[in-house]
Amino acid sequence: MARNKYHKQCEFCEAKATYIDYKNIKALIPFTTKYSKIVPKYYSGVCLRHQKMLARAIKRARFMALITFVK
Amino acid sequence: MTSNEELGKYELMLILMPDLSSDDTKKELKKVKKLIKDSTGEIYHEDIWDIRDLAYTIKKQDKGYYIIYYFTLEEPRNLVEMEKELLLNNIILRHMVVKSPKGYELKKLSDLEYTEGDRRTHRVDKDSGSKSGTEVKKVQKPKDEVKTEEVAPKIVKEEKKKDLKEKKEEKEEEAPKEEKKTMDISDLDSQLESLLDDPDINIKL
Repeated sequence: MARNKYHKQCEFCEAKATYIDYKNIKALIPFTTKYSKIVPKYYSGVCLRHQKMLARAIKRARFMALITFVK
Repeated sequence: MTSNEELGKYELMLILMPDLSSDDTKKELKKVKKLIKDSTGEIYHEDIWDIRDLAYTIKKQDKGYYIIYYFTLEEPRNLVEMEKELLLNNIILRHMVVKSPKGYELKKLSDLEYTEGDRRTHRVDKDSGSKSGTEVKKVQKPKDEVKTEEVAPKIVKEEKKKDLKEKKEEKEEEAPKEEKKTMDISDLDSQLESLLDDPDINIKL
């Protein structure tokens, strides 16, 4: 599989993250596209567990006007 | 009463109107603190982000006063009524209550803020881990800019003063003083050139 060829471990797993903070914009913005959409996990290589946490954090940050909904 | 470990920890993020005076914001925040206390809450930390740009306009405001309260609640049922009152307050643009996870460590604002270039240097801010060297550099850069900016206006003032002096001296027509002035002016020129050579400063002539 092509995906396995370029497979790398999820960055949050490497950091052993148990929670992704919605206030930590620095960590969230790299996982958004230039139109501020959430990057799918097959591009970013984030595991499912952390992708769900990420999505929740990004949505919270959007609501509090820390990140734009649409650019 | 349950023991402290069992109490749920929450965090409340507020965005207030930016154009209030500091007294008014304090009053408003006192009200919110009372609200939390009335609903059997206890604030153990507060984090002030101050006025910052919103990512999009809310109620025709481009900026907002951010503040975060970290508190424990004995009876989580009271949250519903608490949020109702927060919604009714016109001065609060947005609010959000989030249950903070177990073992959550408080972070400083400087660790969280995003600056351009983060996307390239490193992506994941590792959980309360060691800070990379890039962050330190970022902190230092703005300081230098501030210093240079402070220097520039002073020189302008000096120039103005000298202009005034020159006019006076032209009237007096005294030779020795003029020599001193020329020396000063040459010094100024060298200073200005060094400033202009700085790549960090953009001065449009």
